[in-house]
Amino acid sequence: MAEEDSKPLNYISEVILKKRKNTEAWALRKKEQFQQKKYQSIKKPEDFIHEYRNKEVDLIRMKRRVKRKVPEANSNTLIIIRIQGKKDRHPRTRKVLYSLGLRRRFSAVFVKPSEGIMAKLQRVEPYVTYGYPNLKSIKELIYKKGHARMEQRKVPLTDNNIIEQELGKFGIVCIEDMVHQIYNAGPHFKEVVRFMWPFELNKPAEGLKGSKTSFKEDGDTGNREDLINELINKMN
Amino acid sequence: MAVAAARPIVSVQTLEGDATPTVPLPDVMKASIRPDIVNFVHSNISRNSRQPYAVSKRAGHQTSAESWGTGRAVSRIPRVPGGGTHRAGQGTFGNMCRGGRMFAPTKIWRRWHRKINVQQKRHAVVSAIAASAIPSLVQARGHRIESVPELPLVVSDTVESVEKSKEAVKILQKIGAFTDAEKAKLSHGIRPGKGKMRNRRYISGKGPLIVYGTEGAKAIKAFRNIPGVEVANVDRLNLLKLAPGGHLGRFIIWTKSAFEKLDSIYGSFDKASEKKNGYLLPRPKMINSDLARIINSDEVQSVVRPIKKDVKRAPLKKNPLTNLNAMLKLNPYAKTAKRMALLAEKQRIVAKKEKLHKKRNIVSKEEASAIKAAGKSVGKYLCFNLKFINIYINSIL
Repeated sequence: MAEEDSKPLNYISEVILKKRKNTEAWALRKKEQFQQKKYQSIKKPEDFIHEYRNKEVDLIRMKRRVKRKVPEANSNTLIIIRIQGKKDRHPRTRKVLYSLGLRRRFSAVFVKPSEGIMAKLQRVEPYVTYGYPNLKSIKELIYKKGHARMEQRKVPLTDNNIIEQELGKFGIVCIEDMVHQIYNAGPHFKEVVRFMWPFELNKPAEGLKGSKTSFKEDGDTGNREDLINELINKMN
Repeated sequence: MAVAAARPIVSVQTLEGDATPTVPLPDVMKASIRPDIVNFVHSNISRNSRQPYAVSKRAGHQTSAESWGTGRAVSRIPRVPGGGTHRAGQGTFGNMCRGGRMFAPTKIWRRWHRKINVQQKRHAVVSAIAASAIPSLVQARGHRIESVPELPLVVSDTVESVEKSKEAVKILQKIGAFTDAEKAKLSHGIRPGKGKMRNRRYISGKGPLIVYGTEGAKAIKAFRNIPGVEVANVDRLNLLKLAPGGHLGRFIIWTKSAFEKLDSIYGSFDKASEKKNGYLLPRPKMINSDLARIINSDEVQSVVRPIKKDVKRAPLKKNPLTNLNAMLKLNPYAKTAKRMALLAEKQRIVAKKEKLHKKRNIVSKEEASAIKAAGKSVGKYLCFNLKFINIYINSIL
């Protein structure tokens, strides 16, 4: 019987296989970590371009919105709540928001609806929502979240003496007087609103979609009329 | 010496008479005390009196020994040649052999002496002089100074003219310094260790050091042979005598003329020395390092603000909508409104219950018959209506 030459079998060394397995596992782990990374330490140029374009578009839309008819309000008092606008917002818009006292998200102020105020609201409509508060909402807001502004300091309204010291010369000596002035838009409405720090509300568990569309068109912003009270109840 | 404890005037101890003249305290007594410098300089000065020594370079090699090599069941150490004596065949040369040389034989070219900076030496001497003026340091060094009237101890210049040791001992007894000399004498003993056979057989303690100011004073011979007593000229103070062993606090007896020369020899903190070129006494970073005393002194406490004892804390804001006390604080009428609401609610419940009770109540027979009669009349009305409707329909048809 002729002897045949024995050839070695083709096989891959187990060390190489182990290394290959480890490399693949490492790659998968690295990929997961990259996806979980929420805060990028480096901001890409595309992000800058995107941001600046959005700001420019925001300004253009504001200029177009201003040409429309100024909206009307059928109430003595309005409450304005800022719900958006941390970025993608033009500095002119920010200026208007600051002049209304809305410096941070979910802050709220009471205003008397005059032509100037309604014009401002028209400018910042995509970032705020407003409506007609009722007595219950006004009362609960002031009692629970009321703070006084004393020498640029935020002092909680824990005592009627604080109010009497500041507003006693207008005949307002207690917190009920403040509620009365705001609900009825009384003669000292302005002094009371200036005396109070803007309300800092909670984020509602539901009720906001994150949309900039008008409330009448199934969005978040604009005039909610009496339905603002539901939102206030959720955010208080 | 701490500045706070320094006295500006020192008394001169006279041997006769009641007058007590005084001399000002020299600035050198107020210099800062640096044990680290004194120890270092003392160690290096001690080395400078050494003389070279070494083992002989021929030791262990004065033989013609050779190794026997291998094959003889013995180690290969070089072995002494010859025969006839037990010396023949013994190992040699190696350091483990009897009669061999030592390992790494010592040589005379060692580094025997040390260079010391002049400024460093002066600082050390000044430090030792300052330490000798502090009684606690002198006692800590072991000197007996309980009977000494004052430290630094200054005696009049008549001591410098004493010629007899008998008189010198009397002087020491009079100023209370002989106790220390006696202690030194009693401490005479044999040195432990191999120094006994190296010309260092006896040891003894140190007593007082006499510092004189007049060159060629006769007191040198009178004092120097008293056990424990040493003598030094103020112009040539030696650190090995001021701080023996590198330890501060030597008991020094100054003569008046020597004491007065210290200012010109060592200078002061702001005036240079006249004898040592350009030397100024070392100044410490902090004159008084007692920080607690500085802070609590009247000068500091009078300008600091008094303790702020009333701490204002912002009031905690409770929720008035859920906390009734907080609500009443803001709106006292809330209690009345709440009570009225509760009463109205109670009234409403009572009214509703009464209405239900009336509907479910069992009526009496007279009332039942009355209701039945009323029902019948209603029935008649309905029949009449039906007739009218029939007439109407027939007319249409």
